[in-house]
Amino acid sequence: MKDSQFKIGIVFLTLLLLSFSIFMTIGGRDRVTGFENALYSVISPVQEGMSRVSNFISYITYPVRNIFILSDENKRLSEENDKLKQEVIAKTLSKSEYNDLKRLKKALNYTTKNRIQNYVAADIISRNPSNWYNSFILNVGLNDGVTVNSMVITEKGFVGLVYEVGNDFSKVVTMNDIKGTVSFALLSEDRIFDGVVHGNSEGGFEGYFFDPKADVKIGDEIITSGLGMYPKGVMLGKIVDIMDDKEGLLKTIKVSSYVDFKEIQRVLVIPTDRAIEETFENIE
Amino acid sequence: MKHFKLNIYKRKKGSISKEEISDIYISDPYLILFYILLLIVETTILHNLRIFGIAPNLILISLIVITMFFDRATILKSAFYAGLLTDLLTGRGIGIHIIFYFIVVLCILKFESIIFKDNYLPSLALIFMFTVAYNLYIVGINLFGLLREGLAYEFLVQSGVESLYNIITGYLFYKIVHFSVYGKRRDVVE
Repeated sequence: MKDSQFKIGIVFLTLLLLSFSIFMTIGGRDRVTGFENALYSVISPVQEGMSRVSNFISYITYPVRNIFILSDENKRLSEENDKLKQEVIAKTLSKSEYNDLKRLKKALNYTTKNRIQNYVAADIISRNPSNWYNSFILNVGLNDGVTVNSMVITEKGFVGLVYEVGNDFSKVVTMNDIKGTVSFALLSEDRIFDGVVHGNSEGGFEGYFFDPKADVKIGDEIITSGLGMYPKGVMLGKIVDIMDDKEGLLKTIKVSSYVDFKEIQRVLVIPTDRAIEETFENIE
Repeated sequence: MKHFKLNIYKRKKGSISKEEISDIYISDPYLILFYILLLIVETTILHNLRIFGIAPNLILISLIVITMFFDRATILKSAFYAGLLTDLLTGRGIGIHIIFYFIVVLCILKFESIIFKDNYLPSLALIFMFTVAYNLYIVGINLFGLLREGLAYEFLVQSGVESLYNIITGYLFYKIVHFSVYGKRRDVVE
């Protein structure tokens, strides 16, 4: 009898400790433990190597695997689409801002991590095995200037945010796990409307325009406005649904992202100004 | 994997009794290394082998197969190491997978006496059952983040495809472990 009570006590205590651990870590941490850093320093080179081999094999077998869905045609259209999007952005933003974006795009071509001012190019070295998440791990960390809440992008737009960072690695969550808001602007030369969005469970965004009478239509694109933590001009996606609330005070929208989370292999990390300030405060 | 305490059984004739099966163990360093390697494969290679965007859950499969071949201590330690490493290397909260994997092995150990361990079919049935349970558990924990229209349908499709994928992978895994433990012996009931 006492033995079974003891066992129940142990199980209960373990559950309590694990629940506490989950509660403390589920929202991400500014710094991971020394043990995790040590574990990653051993494992991440192996993961990186295996990822590259796996991605290479996947890349060369892509046309064979997708023979029935006209992969070449798809790729060509996708590239053409990207080019057109860049042209629209180039026409909309000022020249200096456009040059910034071109530099970002150029940085994506680096095959290894390569710090350019505050931008860090990084490779995805592993992905969350669960089929319910799109989160992944990058081969850059505190040593490369990456901080919690750093923005992660590709040439197709916003990918996610860094939620946990170690010395040489960082964990990234995608839209469906992002609870904070991102301020946006409509990508248009003559219609100047802005608002805020947050990530939704479908891998896109939801939010609203500040102006309830904003002249927008389905198919319009939105970019980050530069207000708040994130830099201006990063593509967020295309508006797929517009709804007016009952009181007519808000114009809410649903936005679909251009990023294919299953296919991305290389990204660019942009540490936020606030995150940089906090890092300096911690160092001091 | 020579660290299995098996050599004595390979020389025996006749089927192996349950008492003997429950005496087979894997030492801690090999167990940790095994799960690290499995996790590396799962987070790097399996991503490119997805079918309908879904990959098999190697850790869950291995854990269930291990319960069919090894002693209680190995099974419980497996659940702990597998859960801890999954949470540390990929997870979103340290403890989520430890709790689930402990529930899995404790359930299997609780009903050990009625589970026929000398055949691969019970393993496959358990893999199916716990794959659905795992998806339910993850969705339950992240319900707020995952709540959307058509979630129930998505859950059914995802659980169904993943179960099928896990069962096929589980069968191969069972055969490999069976071969590692018993070699080519034909007198061992499979």
